[in-house]
Amino acid sequence: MDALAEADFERYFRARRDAIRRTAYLMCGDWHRADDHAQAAFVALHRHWRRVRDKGALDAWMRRTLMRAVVDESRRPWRRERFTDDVVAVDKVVADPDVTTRHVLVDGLRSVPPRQRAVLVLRYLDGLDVAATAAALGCSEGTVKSQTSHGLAALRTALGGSLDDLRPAG
Amino acid sequence: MTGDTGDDDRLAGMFREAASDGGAPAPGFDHGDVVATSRRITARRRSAVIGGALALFAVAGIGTVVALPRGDTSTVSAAAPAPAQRAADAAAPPAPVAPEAALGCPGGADDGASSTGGVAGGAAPGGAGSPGAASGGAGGCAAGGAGSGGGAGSGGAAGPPAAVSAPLGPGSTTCADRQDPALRALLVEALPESASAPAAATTDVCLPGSERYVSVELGGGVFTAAYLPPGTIPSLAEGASSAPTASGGTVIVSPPPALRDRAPAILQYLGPRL
Repeated sequence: MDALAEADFERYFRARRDAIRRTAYLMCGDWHRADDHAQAAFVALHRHWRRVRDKGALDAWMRRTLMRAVVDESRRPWRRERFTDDVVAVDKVVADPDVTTRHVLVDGLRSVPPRQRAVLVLRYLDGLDVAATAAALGCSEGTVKSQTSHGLAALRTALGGSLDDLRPAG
Repeated sequence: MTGDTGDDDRLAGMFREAASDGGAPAPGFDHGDVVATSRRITARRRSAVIGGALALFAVAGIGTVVALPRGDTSTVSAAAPAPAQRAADAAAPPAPVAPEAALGCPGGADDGASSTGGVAGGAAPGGAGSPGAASGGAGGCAAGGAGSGGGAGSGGAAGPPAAVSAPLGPGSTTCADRQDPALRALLVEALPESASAPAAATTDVCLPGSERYVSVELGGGVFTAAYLPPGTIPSLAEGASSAPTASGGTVIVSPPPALRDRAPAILQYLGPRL
């Protein structure tokens, strides 16, 4: 990749890293794994950067790559765990309504199947409409609609009555 | 939650709040990490392509396949005559077979009957159409030790278990091969129907090269087998099961529900061979 293309990529990386990370976080529910997924998506993008013709479609491509990484990881039969002698510092629980909203929703999303979760995240976090979500995930609009419906039902089941108690900040 | 605009806005607000950076740790990677990883993967793939081409030339030079005409009109493929040294070796006890070589042609590597054992299952008289021949086609050699003669139609785990050679052990690449051909060959032996199963989609995530993976679309889902080297402590996902391996590592299989009852037998087969 020449210097100009590298500079282009770096510009895109710096502009989009945090947003991609946030999307990954809601898709997988863990910031560290979100970092892994986001980094993997950016690495894949860097490898294909020379062949990218439509720079306007980069976000859709990244979302699709991200979704595949999350679904692929959910199929992996194990997770890495390490024993440590260090005592992990646990922050004191703060009764902050924002924090409550964050934790309850992320916990609820964990129980939603990965593809449905991805659809919910793209629609409600990234603000994509049905057509854009279908384009990003490479599926039909009907699939997006049904996945949204099933995903919301699963989220409602997981959250129970607590969903109605949640209020967005501001 | 009825899907009207008000609820959509409320949900969108909750999602934005949940993903806010308030409780987020600092990003664990930067531009330099991405570029370095990308270049490493590109270099690894390039060297794999070059290595594959060299291996192809080496195999073509050593194992030339010739067609032997017979009295009738049928044609039988057989391995080329072995070098003189190999003929002398045939009288000696069989040496331990390298794991990768053993996987390429299970049970038929160096038993002194290699001209018979080298006959491809699909070309052997009467072999075409049998389960063993069908499963052998995908791996390049007949599965389940078909090359050793009598087992041609048995196909993999259903037949008598092949002799266990040296365990496969950890991989040696920079990043783990997510469709490891050696592990796939073992899986085909343990689960013959996986021979014709298409490979499942995987990602470019660089996992440690000492690990091995294979994922195939089978039984209405994805069947995944993984080998973890000694020292890695896995936490099994739902539906997955594991067993220790001969090399001190761990083998994990995650079958779709339809194949879950086969997991113990597959683990029992893979454990001594990994």
